[in-house]
Amino acid sequence: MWVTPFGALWRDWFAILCAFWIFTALASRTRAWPMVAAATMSGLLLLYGALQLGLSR
Amino acid sequence: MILGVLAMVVANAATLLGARAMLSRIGTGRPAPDAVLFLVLRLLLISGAVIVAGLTRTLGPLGLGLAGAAALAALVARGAHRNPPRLRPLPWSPWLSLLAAIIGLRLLLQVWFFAPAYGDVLSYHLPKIAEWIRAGGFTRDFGPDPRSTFPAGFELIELWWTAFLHHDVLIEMAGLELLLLAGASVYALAREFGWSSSCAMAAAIAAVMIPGLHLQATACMNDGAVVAWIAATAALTAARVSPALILAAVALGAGTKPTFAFALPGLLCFAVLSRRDPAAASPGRLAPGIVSAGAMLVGSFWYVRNAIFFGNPIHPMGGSGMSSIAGLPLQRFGPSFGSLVDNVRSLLDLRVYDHLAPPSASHLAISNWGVMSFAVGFPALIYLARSEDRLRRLAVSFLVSLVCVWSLVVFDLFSARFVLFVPLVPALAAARLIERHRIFLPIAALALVFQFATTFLPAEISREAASRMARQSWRERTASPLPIEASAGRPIGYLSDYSGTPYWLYGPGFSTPVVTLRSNTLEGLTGELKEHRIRVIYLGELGDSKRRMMRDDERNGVLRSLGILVR
Repeated sequence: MWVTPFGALWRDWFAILCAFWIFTALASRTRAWPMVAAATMSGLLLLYGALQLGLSR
Repeated sequence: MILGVLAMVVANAATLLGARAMLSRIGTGRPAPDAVLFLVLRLLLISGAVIVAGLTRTLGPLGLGLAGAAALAALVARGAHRNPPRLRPLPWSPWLSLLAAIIGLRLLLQVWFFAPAYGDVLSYHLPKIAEWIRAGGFTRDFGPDPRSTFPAGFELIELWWTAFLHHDVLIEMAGLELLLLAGASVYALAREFGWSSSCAMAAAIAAVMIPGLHLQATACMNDGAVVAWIAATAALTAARVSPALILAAVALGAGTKPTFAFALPGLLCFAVLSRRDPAAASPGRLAPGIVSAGAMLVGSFWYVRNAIFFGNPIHPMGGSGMSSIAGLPLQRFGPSFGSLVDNVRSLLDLRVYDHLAPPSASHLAISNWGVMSFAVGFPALIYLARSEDRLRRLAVSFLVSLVCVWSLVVFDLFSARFVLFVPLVPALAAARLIERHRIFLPIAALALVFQFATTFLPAEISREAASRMARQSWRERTASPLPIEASAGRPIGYLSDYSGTPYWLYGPGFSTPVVTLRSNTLEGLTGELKEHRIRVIYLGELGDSKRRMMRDDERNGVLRSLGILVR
């Protein structure tokens, strides 16, 4: 069974993209969309960056 | 050495002029797809020249240099050098030119300071290059790694960059040529989608900076080359050039690695979805047909060779795939839904975060798609998929390719490198979104800086190894952590049943002969050692019988009594 725990959804890339997809489908023409998109991208950037911290050689 | 440099310059000038002369017959008149066609033609000419030189035993500075000089003289006599293409003014923002120059300069420094350092490359990609350079032509001994008979289209370009200097200092230039093709193809795709030159250039830069693609370019690995051929095929399809020219890119891609063929259903899907787009001006049938026939000869060369020598065009693959000597499956034959599911799950659960290992050329446990795709590209694709028809078609087609490739390869720690073409789509989407909404530029810029900072060194080259290589003179530069014990004039013996690092034994200038030892008994081994006057043996991965033989020797001391060093 392929299940992501509910508590981990906020940092699950695919779940974030799915949520963003739904938001884009509903609100891509609103003035809020660019702000939400920028916030999503920034959040993903931080998530990716934070996960790389342990990789310094 | 001066003769080698001169021959390299002349032969490269001949291929550049030759490609341009051919382009004048088959070009579309549009700069972006013509740039892709030009690079395809140059790679075709190089590949063809190396095959001919390999077969005629003229694979050296003299043979290639004289052929290049003759071709250059003929081209100049026909006036091919007249009306050089106008490069300025560049149609994109000067900031993008600066960025491309910085990336290009760093890549050239990486070519100069890196030396081959990766498992598969040292085990079976490059030993045959060393043998062919030493022999001045193709030889039949492919070494002990059975994978050395895989198609070697990329190795032809590597041979081109090693044959003139009889040295591997420039061998990574082959990867750069293909990275340039990938970048030019992404640029052409964006232009064909109707986007501005600056947007197309930004997409090309984002594509070239995809960590996996970027690190593969200077690692002598061929998965990046496959991505370049996939991108070129897609770009020529989007430009609706003559089908014969698309077939030429397909043939050269298939001659590079069979994983290109695994991705073909997606490319076919893209061709079907693009069939109603306006076609490029037709150059007639003859010239594209000749180019296509030449590419098919080059691309099928390895399969024909395997059919002749081994009775099987895809040797050493059989109906049951291929396993390592430890019994681990290396390659499967036919599709597997389980492989696809495992690969997709692994991507979404783990690999897409790129956090299990540092960026590497081998893609160990990571996707290597980078933060640009992760944070900017995919969200951009979600937004643009509704309005950008042609981008959506490409995304759907590459998804089909991903499904096919991951169904046809074994799921292992490195299998993400076979779908490195996927992040080209988010690279395109990111550039387009930034063009439409400047608000996202700082985030994308930060992502690009991050990717630039993390791609100075691949994980396979440690800081110590990089520092050691930088201190070495270019003539002696090698990634081998220990000096190779060579006795002057005598060959080194290499005993293995599978993988190892035999390429290092030849030395960067291919000065040391290496003999593959095939005996499974001590008696046979000592006979081989005497016959070739070998004093040093290096061991690779041994199968049961050779391991038993070496254990016997440890007990009896036969090799020690003969003064043989075993490493």
